[in-house]
Amino acid sequence: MRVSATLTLEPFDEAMLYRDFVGGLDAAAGAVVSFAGRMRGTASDGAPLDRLVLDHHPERTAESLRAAAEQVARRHQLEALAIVHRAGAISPGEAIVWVAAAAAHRRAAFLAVDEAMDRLKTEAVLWKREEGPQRRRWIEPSARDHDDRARWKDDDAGTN
Amino acid sequence: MQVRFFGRLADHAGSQLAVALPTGGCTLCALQALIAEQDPALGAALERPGVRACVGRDFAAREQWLGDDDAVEYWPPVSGG
Repeated sequence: MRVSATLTLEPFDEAMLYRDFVGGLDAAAGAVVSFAGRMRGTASDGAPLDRLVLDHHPERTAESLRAAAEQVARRHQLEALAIVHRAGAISPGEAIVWVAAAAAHRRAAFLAVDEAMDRLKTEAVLWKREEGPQRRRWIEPSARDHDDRARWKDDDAGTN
Repeated sequence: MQVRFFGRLADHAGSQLAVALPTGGCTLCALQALIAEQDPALGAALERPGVRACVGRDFAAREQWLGDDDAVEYWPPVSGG
């Protein structure tokens, strides 16, 4: 199985990532699911935002992405899994995170991407700050994010 | 010793602060008191719930003994992606 986790400080092209991902698959991969999380121009309360800043750790952030990818890959029957995550200053409309999973059948691919995102929202070693004309605010995971993460048990090598 | 700060903790004194340890070292708790002397607002921020200290690769307890060669970092709760 091909598993990759990449941290980047530069904007990335989601379409190019998708092309590269599917280009590396063989005929066993009957299902591909990809997800892009992009920066909204407004905060959850509607306030306008100019940018999102993701402070990262020089070693531990990339390691946390890799750990999430490996956990997800262990739980689902996958052909390939890729995670790409931005850090640094992100502008509205730019992608923050991109996840793709390939599997023989669709269910595993959907579940893998869903789990990867729930893990990244709580476990990625990143510190997130919203900046706009009226605010500069650090963000922590919401209760909803923790509930979503709790859907997935640790080290459960089940077939889910 | 250079102490590193991430996320909201870096708002106070930047991402690094030089702290002179006593000869022979001190506990993490004592280091935190030295930081609070230099920057009281940062010292208060380190006491907030969820803030963890890392020594090397491991989260550390307040009693941990530190020498000048240790790499100490303070992490607020991670935000996730």
